Formats: sequence, C-alpha cells, structure tokens
Amino acid sequence: MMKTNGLSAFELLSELDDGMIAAATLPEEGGIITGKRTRKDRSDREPGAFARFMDSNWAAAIISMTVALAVLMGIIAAGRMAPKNAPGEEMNGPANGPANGPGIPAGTHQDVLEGVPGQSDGFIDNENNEPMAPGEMPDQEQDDVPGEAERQPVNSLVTGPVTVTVGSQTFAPLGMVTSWVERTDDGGTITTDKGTLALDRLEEVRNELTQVVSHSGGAMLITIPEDAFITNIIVYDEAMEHIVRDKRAAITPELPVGEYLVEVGIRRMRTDGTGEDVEYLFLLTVEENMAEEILYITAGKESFAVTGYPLYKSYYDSELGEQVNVDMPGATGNLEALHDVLPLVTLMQEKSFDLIPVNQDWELVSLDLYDDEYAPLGTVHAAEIPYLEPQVYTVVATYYFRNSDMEMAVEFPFRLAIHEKEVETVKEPNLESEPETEWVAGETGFAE
Amino acid sequence: MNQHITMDAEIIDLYWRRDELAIQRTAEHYGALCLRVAMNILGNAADAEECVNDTYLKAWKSIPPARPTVLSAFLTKITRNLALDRYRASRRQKRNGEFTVMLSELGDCIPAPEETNATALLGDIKAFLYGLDELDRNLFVGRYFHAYEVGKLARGYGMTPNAVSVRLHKTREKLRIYLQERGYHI
Repeated sequence: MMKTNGLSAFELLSELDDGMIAAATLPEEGGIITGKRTRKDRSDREPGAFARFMDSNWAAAIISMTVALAVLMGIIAAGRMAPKNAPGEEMNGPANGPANGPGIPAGTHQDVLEGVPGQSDGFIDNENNEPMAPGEMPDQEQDDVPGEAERQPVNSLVTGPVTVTVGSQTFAPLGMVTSWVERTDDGGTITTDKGTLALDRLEEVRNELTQVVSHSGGAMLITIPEDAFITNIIVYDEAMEHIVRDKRAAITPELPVGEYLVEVGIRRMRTDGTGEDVEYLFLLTVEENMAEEILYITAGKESFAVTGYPLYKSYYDSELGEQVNVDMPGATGNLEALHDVLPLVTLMQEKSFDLIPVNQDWELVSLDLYDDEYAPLGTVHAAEIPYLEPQVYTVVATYYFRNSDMEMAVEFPFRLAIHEKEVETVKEPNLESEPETEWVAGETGFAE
Repeated sequence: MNQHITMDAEIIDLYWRRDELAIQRTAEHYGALCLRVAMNILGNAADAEECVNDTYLKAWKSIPPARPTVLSAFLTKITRNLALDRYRASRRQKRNGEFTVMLSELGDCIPAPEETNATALLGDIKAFLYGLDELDRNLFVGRYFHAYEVGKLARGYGMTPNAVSVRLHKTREKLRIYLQERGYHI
C-alpha cells in the first residue's frame, strides 16, 4: 500500500464526532475546553529580568545580533576561531566561558550577550525601563505584582543567531526565539509558540545556516547568560516527526549528514528560584566537510575552536591497487600569510592545556612551536605548553584523521600568548603584630 | 457547556426562521474559530476569509433542513472541507508549510482511506480516540481536526510546545500500532 500524504486521512477526520471536536476546540476560539491542564505549574514563570530585557530591548537585540552575524561571517571568512564552553563542562553552570575569548574581536561576545553595549548584566529597571547599574539586581517584588492589566509580549520574536553549546560541542546556527511570553492579569505568564513563523523564516535562511554550521564553533553570538542554563536540547528529523537526539546529546559532529530541526530550551534563573524559559527552534544542516572540522583547545574553563587547513588526503585507489596521497591546496600553510587570521589563544602559565580532537577518528601527531617571527623552536608536547616562557608563539598542531573511507592530515595553526602566572597579594587585616601573609589567589584561606 | 447549547439553539432557531441575524450571531461566536481553522489549513488570510464567508453561506443553505447538535463542530467541518478544496486547488501555489507538516504526521499513522474501507477505518480511529485519556484525545483532535499549530495547543492546554509534540508523537505511534494490529497496512 502506498504511503498516503495525509490529505485523505485529514479529510476522513472530518467525520469525527461533534462532541469530540467541540471538546478539542480551544477556548479562545469559542470552544469549551476539557481535559485542560492547569496553568498553576507555569505561574511561577514570572517574566523576570531576562524576559523584561528581551521585551525592552528587542530592537537593540536584533540590531546587535545582526551586527554579530556580520562579525560571524567575517570571522568565518577569515578562518578565525571562537571560544566555547569547556568540554565536559556541566550545562547547569555558567553556560559560556568568560567574556571575550582571545582571538575574538571585542564586542563580539559579551556585547551581544548583553544586548546593549555597556549594559552590565542585561537587567532592566522595572520602573523607568532603564538599564540598571552594574551588579544591581532587579527588584524581585515588582515582578510579582498581581493584577497587572496589560498583556504585553515580554519576549518579542527575535531573529538572529544563537550559539548552542552541547557538552563539548558548540555551534552557532541562526536561531529564533519561538516562544512568546505574555503576562496575564493574575501576574502569571503564558507562553505562545511561534514555531511556525520561525520555521517559515528559517526556510529562507537555510543556506546561511548550512554555511554557519559547517563552520561550527564560529563566533559567540547570542550567548547564554551566566545565570542561565540549557534545559533541553532535542533534535528532530526535518519533518519534526521523530526525535533523533534528546537532552544533552552531542549534536554537530556525531549527527549523520542531513537536515534537522533543533529545539533548545534555555532557562534563566532568578534569585528567588524561579526562572524564565526561552525556546529556540532552528534548522540544522549537517554537511560532510572534512576540511572544516573544528579543533577545540581547552585552557582552564576557556575553550577555543580553530579552523584547520588540510595538508593532504590519503585514500586507497582500488583501480591502481595502491595508497594515493594527494596534496591539498594551501597545505603548506604559509604562516606569515596566515598571521592576520590566526586565532590568538591566551594562556596563563600553569593552566591546563588540552588539545581536544572532535572525535576518536582524530589523532594528534605533533605540536610544532615557532616564535612570533616564525623561527622554529621545535616540537613540544601539549603538557609542556603551560610551562613555556611568557611570550607569543605560533603553534601548528597537526592531526591525523582516519576512518574507514579516508585518511587526512590536517594542520591547525594558531597563535599562543603565554602570560605569567598572576599572584595576588593580600594583607591580613587587624593583625599588626603578625607578619604580612601572602595569599595566593585560588587558595581557600589565609596561611596560618 | 449548557450556555453553549443554549446559544447554539438560539442561533439555529434564527437559521430556521431564515433570519439573517443568524449569520451575524454565527460570525460573532464562531467566526474566529472558523477563521482559525481555515488559516491553519491555508496559511493565507485572504483565502481564509473567503473560506469563512463561504462557510456562512453553506450553513445558511444547510440549516434547515439540518439541525446540528453542536454548531461549532458543524461549522468547522464545513470550513475544513471548503479549505481543503482550496488547498487542493492551490497545489501549484506556495503551500502552508505547517499544514504540510501536519499532513505528513497524519500520513505516517493513518492509511489512505481510499485504499481501504473508509467507514471501518473511521470507526476504528474513533474507537482508538475514545480509548485515549481526555488530554491526549483533545490534543490529537485539536492538531488533526482543527489543524492547530503545536504552539497554539500548548498555550491552550497550559503545556510547553515540546510536551505537546511528544504527546502527539506518542499518540500517533499508538494509533499506528493500533491500526496495524487491526490489519491496516501503514
């Protein structure tokens, strides 16, 4: 039997019983809805700081995100890298690393995060609708004023890119806020899905998405505020029929080539324990693009992604009956020419330094060290890097990719700035007779 | 519910008396519902408006002799059929993507009625739906009769869109298995 397109089945359902149809008519359409869930469980979703921020600054956010998108495309074009979460970092902690990562132009990350440059934390004063002072928290009581008459959209539909970090993977597809949070008369909130609109729009930007995803690890765009975390990530097939991945499954490299719809829920927590939820829905196109695989470099909690340049590829030619190596264009990697686009990684002495391959098919072959004038300094082991003399280096990490189909050596050049380990000196108070005590930052207390 | 029954009876009486106020009352009480259903299918406001106007005309012509017990269901069935006719006629035009997705969902769990005994199939589907709990049944009918978007359903039922999607997905799977067990090939 041929598979129906559903149209005739839909027509068949015209003959459902009247009572059944009436019961499922939504109340605002004139129906008497039954089996309806209480909204009580959603009443704690007060439109707090994040929601108000989105409401009050949606235009600014769009502008910022547009600018960020332009920056992203520029970065991609230049082959630059982007910061990301540390691999394995828990998602319920601060969702992203520290502000601007090395190698990212100022303003790319944090300014977009804040939405309005100079706004310290994204919070908006409820009364005068002005940015609050840095560190100032919004008045929680004002969020809870019941009986507010206006039903105002708190999250306007925001178009623009979003960065999603999943486990050790970060990618920056274009995303859209698909939920519209409204404040009800009783002070609660209700959420309206805008998925259809988002899907329509996403169709229009399919090509851009493809480009961005194939350069996954691009610039941080909309980022997840530090007091927010990802509540869910669900990957559907393109028809949104089947769930392909659920929760925090790694997405980008592991997914088979294809198109997916990804739903990401982000919750921003407030001090009273309640939170605001924003959902993103976007189309994800995963392409096979070996040359653009991403290498992640982790230094402490900061992670960076470096775009690599393939040196050659190797495959077995069955007709010739032998292994064939093919040099890739630009494989020699003119470091001088690359200087302007090499990502700069800054590293504090003695911080951890791990080179993380994207998956098990990648093997680190060598780390070749050059000084900033490209004089070769020899090959080093990754573990040695945190103990290098403070200066700027150029590092070429060579990886070998191997799977059942092919082999390929890939070079990942980047610049590395090693800084001296910072030691903070603190005077112990009110102990004049005691010798001054040094307290090294990071230790838990004063020395005895 | 009683209020709706009383209101429906009054409007139907107006139709039976051939009082044009019947159209006005219908539009007041069920115009938004009909427009929503038409929009859900067509995704085009102008077409949906025309569809709704045609619904009023068809209701005017149908009552009498019809005396529907649930006017909202009666009207939405008319709207739905009219919208489907337009949908079929506009195959060469840009389609409503959300509705196409919805049809695809339905096509995966219900066989083509023309290739089986449609009456028996409908009976089995009804039996299945009555076997569901009320929420799942309403979500299913809301999605596949009214063609509501998932987000619209989520808002109406105080759920998250994701929760609605998951429940619908499970219901479709159950229906598919249920029908397969009864000899339908899907």
